[in-house]
Amino acid sequence: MLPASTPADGPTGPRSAEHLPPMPDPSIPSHLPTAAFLAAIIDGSDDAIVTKNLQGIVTSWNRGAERVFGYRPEEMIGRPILTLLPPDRQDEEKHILARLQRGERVEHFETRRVRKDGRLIEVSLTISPIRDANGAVIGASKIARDVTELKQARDRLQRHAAELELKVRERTARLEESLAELEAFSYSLSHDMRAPLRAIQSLTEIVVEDYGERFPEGVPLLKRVIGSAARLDRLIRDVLSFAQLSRTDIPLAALSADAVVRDILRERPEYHPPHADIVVEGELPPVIGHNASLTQCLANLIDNAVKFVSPGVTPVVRIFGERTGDRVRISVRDNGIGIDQQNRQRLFEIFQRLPSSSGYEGTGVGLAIVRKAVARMNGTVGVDSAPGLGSTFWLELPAVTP
Amino acid sequence: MKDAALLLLAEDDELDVMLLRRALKSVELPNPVEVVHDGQEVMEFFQQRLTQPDLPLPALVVMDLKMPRRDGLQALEWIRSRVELRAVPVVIFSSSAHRHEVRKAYELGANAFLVKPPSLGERAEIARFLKDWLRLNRTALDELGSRVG
Repeated sequence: MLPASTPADGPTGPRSAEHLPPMPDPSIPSHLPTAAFLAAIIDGSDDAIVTKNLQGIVTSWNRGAERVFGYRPEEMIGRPILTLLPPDRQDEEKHILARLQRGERVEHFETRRVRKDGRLIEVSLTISPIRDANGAVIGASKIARDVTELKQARDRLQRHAAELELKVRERTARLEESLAELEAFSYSLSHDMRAPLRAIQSLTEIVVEDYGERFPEGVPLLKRVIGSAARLDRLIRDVLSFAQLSRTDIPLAALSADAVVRDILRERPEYHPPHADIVVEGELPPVIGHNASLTQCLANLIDNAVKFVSPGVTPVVRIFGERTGDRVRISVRDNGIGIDQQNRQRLFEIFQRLPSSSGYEGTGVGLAIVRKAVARMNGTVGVDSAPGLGSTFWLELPAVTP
Repeated sequence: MKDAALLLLAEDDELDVMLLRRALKSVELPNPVEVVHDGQEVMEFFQQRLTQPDLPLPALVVMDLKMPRRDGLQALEWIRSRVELRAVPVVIFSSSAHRHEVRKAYELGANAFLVKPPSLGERAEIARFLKDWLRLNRTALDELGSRVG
């Protein structure tokens, strides 16, 4: 296994474990007892470990070097290190040698080298000067690690990241486009659909006002036209506010749910005796939310509680709040018609009106607005109910923590 | 005593013109109402007024947003770009209150933003608001008028 021709000036470096102890190496002082041990470590390394003199001639070649570059020791020792440099990188050696001569190390220098079979590989080089007993630089040790796979993996990762980035950007653009379309749609909905509705309602009102006395038997029919137009207008407005909920920024802050509820109750005469019996039990705990959104939610819940009672029944509504851990649940309990189990899921979906709700005014959007607005405030909604036993609608929001 | 100043209504929808006229009549607004039908006509109206200084500027402009040729916002922007017209009060009277539009209208110098209501009752309320506004509000045009006249 010995090289056929050992160059006169070239030491045979550590090569293989079978050859331990190695040939005496003039560059390693023989009094060092660990030379053989070090040689074994070097030979066992996965990395290519090579030494060269200042003329760039290879002076030792370990087994790692054999594997990384494909050359056997006898093929490289005594040959110029330039053999390993691709034609377009031959200049590198000049710079490396210049640095070595100044006594500097080159660390983790990423470059390309060419193997015996002509294949280019990516390597990370660490090159340090070797000095003689007087400290003069006489050569260099060079550790080369094959990072081809690492580099390929890194490149793949970067490519994937770039592709992902591109995809995200494309999808965001598409999403923004759909949102803009939705915006344009809701704009024309509000303008173009509400204008003819206004005409129907206003003109019918004029007919009732100006000619109603002459045709009293037609007035109830015309009033139904007016009522229908008003209801459709309310529906369009509800759908618009539902659509706007997903786009509008709602800044969240600590707020008094108690004040919100009491403001709602104060403003509506139909929430007071003799029309209804509504009581806020105790003081509702403060929550983290958005004032206008919470007002809309609770107004919708109270409105439903008062609305869905059997004919002739005075609505009895209790509003109460309780804090559990970091959540606050605000409940609105009514004495209304109640909801059976199977319909409870559909209740919060848009345009869902239960069969039991026919005969009651409504657009089928109110609870969908509640669910969406509460979700945007990081909360949840729900209902406990049974037919004939009333319902308790509740919403849960983050509590204000001191 | 001189006649009450003009109210200029810019509205392309004949029904809306009729409804507002009716509402203004029901609250007995003393001011005469002149109607133009789009933003372009608003500009032509003012251009004519500016070449004839003996004709007073309107006490109030009530303007729809969505109009052919030039819309309400464009007309408003033009009005506010003319030094002589900058102080003319403009009330936007639109069928919707899209929040971007409301903001844009105020940024361009609108003095109020009203939404066309669906019922006659609410429309009468708006007519009353305009009448009270004209009666109670002091505008820069009053000052101008007293100086010129």
